[in-house]
Amino acid sequence: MTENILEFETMGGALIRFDLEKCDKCKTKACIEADHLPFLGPVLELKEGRPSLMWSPEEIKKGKCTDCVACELACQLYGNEGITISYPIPKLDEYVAGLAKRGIKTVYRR
Amino acid sequence: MPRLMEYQGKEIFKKNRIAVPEGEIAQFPEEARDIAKKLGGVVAVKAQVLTGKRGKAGAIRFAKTPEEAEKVAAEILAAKIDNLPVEKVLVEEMLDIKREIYMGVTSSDATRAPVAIFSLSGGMDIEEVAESHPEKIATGDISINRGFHQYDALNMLRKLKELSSGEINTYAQILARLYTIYRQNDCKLVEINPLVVTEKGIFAADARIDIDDDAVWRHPELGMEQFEEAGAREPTDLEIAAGQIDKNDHRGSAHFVQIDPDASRAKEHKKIPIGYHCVGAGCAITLFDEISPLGYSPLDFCDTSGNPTSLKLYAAVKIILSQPEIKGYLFATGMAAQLLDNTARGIIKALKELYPETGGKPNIPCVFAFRGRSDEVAVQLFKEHGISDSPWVKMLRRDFSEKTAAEEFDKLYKKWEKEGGGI
Repeated sequence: MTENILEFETMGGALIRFDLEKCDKCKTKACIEADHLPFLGPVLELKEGRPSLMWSPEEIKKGKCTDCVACELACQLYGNEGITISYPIPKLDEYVAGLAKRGIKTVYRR
Repeated sequence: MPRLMEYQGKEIFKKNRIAVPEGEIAQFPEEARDIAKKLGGVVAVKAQVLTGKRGKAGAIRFAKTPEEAEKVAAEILAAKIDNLPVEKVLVEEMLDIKREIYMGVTSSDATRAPVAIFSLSGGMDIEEVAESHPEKIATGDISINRGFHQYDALNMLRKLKELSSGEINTYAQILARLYTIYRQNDCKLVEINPLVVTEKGIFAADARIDIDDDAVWRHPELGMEQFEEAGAREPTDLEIAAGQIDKNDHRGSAHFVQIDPDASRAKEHKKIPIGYHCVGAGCAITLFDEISPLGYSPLDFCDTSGNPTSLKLYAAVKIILSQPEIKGYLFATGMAAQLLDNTARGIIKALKELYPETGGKPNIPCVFAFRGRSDEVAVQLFKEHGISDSPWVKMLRRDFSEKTAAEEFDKLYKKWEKEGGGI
């Protein structure tokens, strides 16, 4: 993690990455609002104008972050596209690549 | 169902002091020849495939010489048994069988507990014996808390008058060990059929071990892939991929099975293959009954319920839409208590990644039907992200029935087909 990157892992195995330079230019900070889901409580807060974790990375990994992806989707629509959530699905990419080798395309690649 | 190959099962038997015939595994015919040479005498060459009735399928053959073992192994390794390729053969000493016995421990639906089963007629289907010769069978219900000890097995086997006290002692010991294997490996079934009596002693001539699919993750030592139970066949690549979703995350569940992996059944019945996804298996079954008569054939069965995370939905959607033959995607929830806004977010994230050029608007007809907690937010999210503006997306909320969901899908599909579709 560098000064301008906030990165953490979740219980589900996702890697969530905030590009804080983009966040600096974001006027809405939509991720903070989106993070307030009913009953679950937030994991993000604004600190010195930047999104920051309310919990330690260990607590986040234990399940404080519920993998709701609300922050990423809100950021795409109303923020500055500064959040990416990577969630690898082991073996799926290999499967799709295997189809491609046989000249078969999935519907979303047609 | 996750099942071990015979040779893997026999390894476990050996570790638990249940004798098995001398033998080794071979991947190439030459290896089979060398093993046969080492063993000496007549050997059995047995295909290692996860299917029953190998004997009838010609997957178990005998060889008198190492050269014959090589030839037989080459033939078996080149064959398909029950449409499954044979990658390994087990080469074993042939036993001089005096008597065949059956014994097993399985999970009983009736008692919701393990049950030990013993039959004097081995080598036959236990169900068949239970029907024709019930007097040859002894069973014992097992308390999971108390366990199953040798003396329990002794009490159980005493009912079989045909057995001598010495035999009862020997079989009870093996049966108790079988239960240990059942518990230690989180099994659904551990079976020896047949357990053979020879001059040399008593041996497990076959081994069947089925692991509870929900417990596979607890046994990395078995080297098994985690996947949803899909009958006797081996899992498909997509089922294995889907099996990873719940692997390390207990929050909600994603069950995915390919009913018709290559769409051959859909083609045979001239039905339109679709991707199928529900929240709640009850909804899934009911909707299945509504969509099938309209001429559609779901290629998969997927249920993501128990309040799974958005990312589990995301993964499930990507997997469903990776079935190359589908011509539509039908998603519906039962009256769900789970957070459907989270469900929607996972679907939206997947669609936006799969269709980056259109911002998530799919090129096949899709019905998204939400009923239950936060369903209004779910529908609103699709609108906010512009996905429901797609001509090939129909959103339904709260007041739909399975029948109307199926009819709406049918209408949308026909429009899509008429207008040339997005593909």
